[in-house]
Amino acid sequence: MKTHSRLMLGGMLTAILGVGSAFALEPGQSAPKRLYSNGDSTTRAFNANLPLDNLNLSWVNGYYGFWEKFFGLPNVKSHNQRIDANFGKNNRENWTAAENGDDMSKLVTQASGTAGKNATYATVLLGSNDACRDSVADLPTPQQFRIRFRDGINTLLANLAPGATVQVLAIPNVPRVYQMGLRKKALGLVDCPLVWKTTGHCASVLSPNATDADRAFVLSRVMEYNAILKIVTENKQRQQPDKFISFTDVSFTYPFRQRELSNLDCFHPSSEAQEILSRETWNAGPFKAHQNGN
Amino acid sequence: MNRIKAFFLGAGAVGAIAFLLFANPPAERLVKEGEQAERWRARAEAAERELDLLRTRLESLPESQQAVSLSSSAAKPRAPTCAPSTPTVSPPVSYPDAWLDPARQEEWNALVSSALENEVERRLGHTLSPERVERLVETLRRLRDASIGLRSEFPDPKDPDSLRDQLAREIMLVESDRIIRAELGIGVSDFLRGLDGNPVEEVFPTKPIEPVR
Repeated sequence: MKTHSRLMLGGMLTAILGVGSAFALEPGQSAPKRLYSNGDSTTRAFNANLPLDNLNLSWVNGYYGFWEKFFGLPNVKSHNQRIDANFGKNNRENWTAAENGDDMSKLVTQASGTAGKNATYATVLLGSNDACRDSVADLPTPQQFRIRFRDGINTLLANLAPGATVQVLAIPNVPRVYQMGLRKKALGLVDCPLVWKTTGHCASVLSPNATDADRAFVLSRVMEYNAILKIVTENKQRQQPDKFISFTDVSFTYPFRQRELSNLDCFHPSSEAQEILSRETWNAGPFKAHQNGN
Repeated sequence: MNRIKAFFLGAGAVGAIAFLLFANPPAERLVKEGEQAERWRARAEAAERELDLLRTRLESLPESQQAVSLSSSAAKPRAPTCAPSTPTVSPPVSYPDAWLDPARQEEWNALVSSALENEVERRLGHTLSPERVERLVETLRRLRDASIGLRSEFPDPKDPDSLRDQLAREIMLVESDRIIRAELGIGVSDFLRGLDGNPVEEVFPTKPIEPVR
């Protein structure tokens, strides 16, 4: 009888530990197998390695298949790849609604694409293009930004089933790009300030006419926007406890270095930065307990 | 049976059952394994056939080929829209690092040229001349070498040779992409994405190009 009891006890403990580690999600939380990203050029890994979009290097949707290995391309270990590693490759979906140049006013449109898809994990990384305007006078007011984000997140949440997870990321520290790029050369040849002047990227921060006071203003505005993202996200989590909604500011606070700036345009994140963004947001996010695929 | 043995016997038995249950349902797993084996067998056979054909074709090519043109026309605005696809050329089973062996360069070339021809036919609906294929494969080989070099060596800021090598690789990467874009209307990243079977689905694929900020 005693032997039988011990057999049972050992079996139960193993079952609990084994199942627990395999399915360590919150009660009611769906596995994030149906991934949907909302974003801008950062999510499309614009100029991260090769010119223009590099979706394989996106911090969230990136992939590293046979052909990427075959051509020796970088591997950013994206959220998509981490989901494969932690939750399996069966029944996976990997959507992106991110568009280059989109700002927060486009979140409603991007989020409306979730309708009928039964996405179980959605990310939002928008707002850099609200801070990057032709001049500081063109930046949306915090009130305008709040309304746009609120409308967008409402659209997103309305299209997600109970159990879905949403991770909202803070806007990166765009004015810091200026400091990082001042002494960098694109492709090791052209001074970044000349590249900024030529491309016109983020004129409110990087144009030759932008002053330190302009950059200080943009930074303060980015911090206000991020505070709005945090507050609205937390409110939504309280209002909709059947969904798993969180905010992380690690995309703002992480101390990115010069080499993590695109070698092509001195503005977008490089593949190294995409890898960092994936790792840091995953480790600060709702699935941090799932560490396969690092 | 002593206590420890009994405990571990129970733990082992339930662990094995849990693994079988949660890893995959038994029936589904057997079907899946059968399907996977069949799929890989078919892929291996197809790849072998393609490699044989391409080896023959490569052997018939003249030794000297036209050099890669670095003055191709400007990039076309956008590749023709294509539906999500399945991979057009099946990758071989072996790990790609094995293909970096210089002795296997010919096989690498053969696989890439086959992939290139199939992908161009699928996307653009036309075939490439052998000369053009060879030129593009050479461009892709240079891109591969540059990319591997960039990832394997960090430049030493105090060593001019190291900095020069790094710069040359960066430029080669960009120039190779530009050539492919000028010839095919898509960049290397998009080209490989097609070969991978479109692992990311665009929700709004027909949206017109907008200025990037």
